[in-house]
Amino acid sequence: MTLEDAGLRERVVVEEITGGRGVRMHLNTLGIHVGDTIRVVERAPFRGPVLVEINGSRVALGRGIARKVRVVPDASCSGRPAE
Amino acid sequence: MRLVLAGQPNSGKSTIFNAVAGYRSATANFPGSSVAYTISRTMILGREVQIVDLPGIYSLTTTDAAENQALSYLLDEEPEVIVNVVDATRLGRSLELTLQLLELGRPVVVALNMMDEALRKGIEIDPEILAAELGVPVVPTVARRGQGLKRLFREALRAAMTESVPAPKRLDREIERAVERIVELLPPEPAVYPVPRRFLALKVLERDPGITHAIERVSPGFVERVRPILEALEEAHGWNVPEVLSGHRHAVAHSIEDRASTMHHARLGWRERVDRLLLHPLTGGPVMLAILGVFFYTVFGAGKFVEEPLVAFFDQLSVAILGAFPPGSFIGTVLNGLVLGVSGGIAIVLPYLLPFLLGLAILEDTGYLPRMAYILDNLMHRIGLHGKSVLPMVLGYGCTVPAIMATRILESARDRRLTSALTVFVPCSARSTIIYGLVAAYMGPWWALGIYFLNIGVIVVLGTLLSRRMEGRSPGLILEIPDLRLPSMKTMAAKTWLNLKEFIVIAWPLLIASSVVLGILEWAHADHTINAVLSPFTVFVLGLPAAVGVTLVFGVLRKELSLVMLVQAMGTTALATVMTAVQMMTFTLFVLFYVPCVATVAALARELGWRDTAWITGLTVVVATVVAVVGRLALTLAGIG
Repeated sequence: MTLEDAGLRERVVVEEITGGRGVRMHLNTLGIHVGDTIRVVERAPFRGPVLVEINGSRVALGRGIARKVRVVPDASCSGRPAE
Repeated sequence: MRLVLAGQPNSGKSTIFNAVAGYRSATANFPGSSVAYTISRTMILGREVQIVDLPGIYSLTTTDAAENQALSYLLDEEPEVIVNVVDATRLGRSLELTLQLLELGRPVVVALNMMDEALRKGIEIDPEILAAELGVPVVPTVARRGQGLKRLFREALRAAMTESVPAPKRLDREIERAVERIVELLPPEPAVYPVPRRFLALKVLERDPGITHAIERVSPGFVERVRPILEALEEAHGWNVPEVLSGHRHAVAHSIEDRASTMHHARLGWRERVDRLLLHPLTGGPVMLAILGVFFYTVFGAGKFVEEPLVAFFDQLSVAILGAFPPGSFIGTVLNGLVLGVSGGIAIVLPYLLPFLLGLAILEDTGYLPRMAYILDNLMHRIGLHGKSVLPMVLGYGCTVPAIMATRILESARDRRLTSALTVFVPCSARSTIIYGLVAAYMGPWWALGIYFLNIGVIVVLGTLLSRRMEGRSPGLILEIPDLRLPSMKTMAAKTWLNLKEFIVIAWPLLIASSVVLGILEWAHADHTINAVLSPFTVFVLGLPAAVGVTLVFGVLRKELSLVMLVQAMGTTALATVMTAVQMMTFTLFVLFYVPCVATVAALARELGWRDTAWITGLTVVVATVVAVVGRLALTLAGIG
């Protein structure tokens, strides 16, 4: 799934960032890397941007950008005991 | 000695800059296409220091034009000391930039800023541990209250004087090996830039196009020679090299953060609750409209309250002066022009300009503007842009010149062109004073509000049409949303004063001089010639009194002039007696859209070149005429005025 489909207030882990060098570097510099845990804080209506929280700072990502961030649910937070 | 303030956006660099340089000191923009970084000379601890406030950068990897400018300053200028301003509430991420600054081979001092906000968020940082980890002095500061700044500059001067260059942090072993191999392949000294060879090698690994090309020019075949090194690294990690590097810096930065800070329970407060309301899918939009509505009414109310008695006073003065000299005498006409110029500034422009600038400063300082960008993102997509373009466009309500410069925060050249073209149509504070002073004052606030909405409508239509003609697509919104902050009175006042000074020092003298010139033209009856030449357009097409011709010509210098000189050209401040409502509306609509002032044209030419400037300027005349004529016909048919 991508960040676009992640549920509200869901914690997810970044698996891959697709898209060009510009987008990847830009997300990197804002603290979003592969392996980071992200929380979806808010979603704007009418297919507006997603607001995510990472390491205490908040970043707004347009839907087009959110679609380029592939994520998986954060296993350590889903209630399952960590191995 | 040159001291550079470098740090991520919103870390408080400008607050530190203003605390030492003072808003009062003349700030200068660099010529050419460089970003508006500000420099100032000041005395610190008895030494003359040149302080440079660089634009905010997230890293030394360039993703937008502002970062490019900051990087080229750091590469070319060899500052004596770099003060790295770090946001303590975002320590890990900020340290990623710090690690890169340590590579530059210049003395570095870290200002650990916003310590108060970090504490509120439950983050406790030990500056000693951080200093030991980074190998540079770390000074905790709260720049907004001036705390720690004295010590910061003392440390910075000491670092500069002792030339204590920090050792860069070592990265992963394979990266270090690749760096060593690239360093060997670099052209012999002197290298392309006055920076350590290790730094250049890292930039090559990051595939920085600018630096790689610069090296290739000096040493042809370089790109081919380093290709196997990059490929080998890629093979080993399975990612592309820039991300490998970024990922490692990320890891190093966060492990330093872990060692230097402890997390306590955060105290949630009003900020979080207000923010929920501002950004909530259901309340965000309505709250935004409410905020802008309150803004509009406050400016209008405050302006009108002050304007009326002032205008009455200057009217009497003007009558007295004209009465004291024989009618048609040269001195009388010139003196009257002088009084009208002075009074136009004080009585008509300032009452609206001051509350307007103050309101805009509040929007800027609370951090509401990026929230508007978030809310309006999908609307902006409809006109082929994304949310970030909202920032320059809203700034355009203040003054078009800085707004056009602010388009540099946009990533793609296409977005910068399109946003600049549209920003020109946003009514700046000068044009707003005409909307307030003419339409709102004589026809009522609802008409004025209607003009703002009409203006937004025209911008949306233009954006839709223009974006279809421009190739490429907007890259999409990536924008940090900073914490909400209560604006401090001191900053507000200083910022408003800085903007107001621009009006007082540049616009007002121009206003007075132009009024005098118009007085002389009237005395020599030359205004009739200009008006007669323009009358086919002004009278026939727009249906305005012939006397407005001159005011439109002067309006190209400064838009406020059109209003002030309208009063002079019509010979009365009681405009309602000489102009119909339709005429006022047509005049305002035309002035709102036609040719931006000369300062804007110059800014456009600097940012986009003369070709774009020419078509944008041409477009404004066409749009102004169409809107004014349509407005005139619609109002006449509706039977108004």
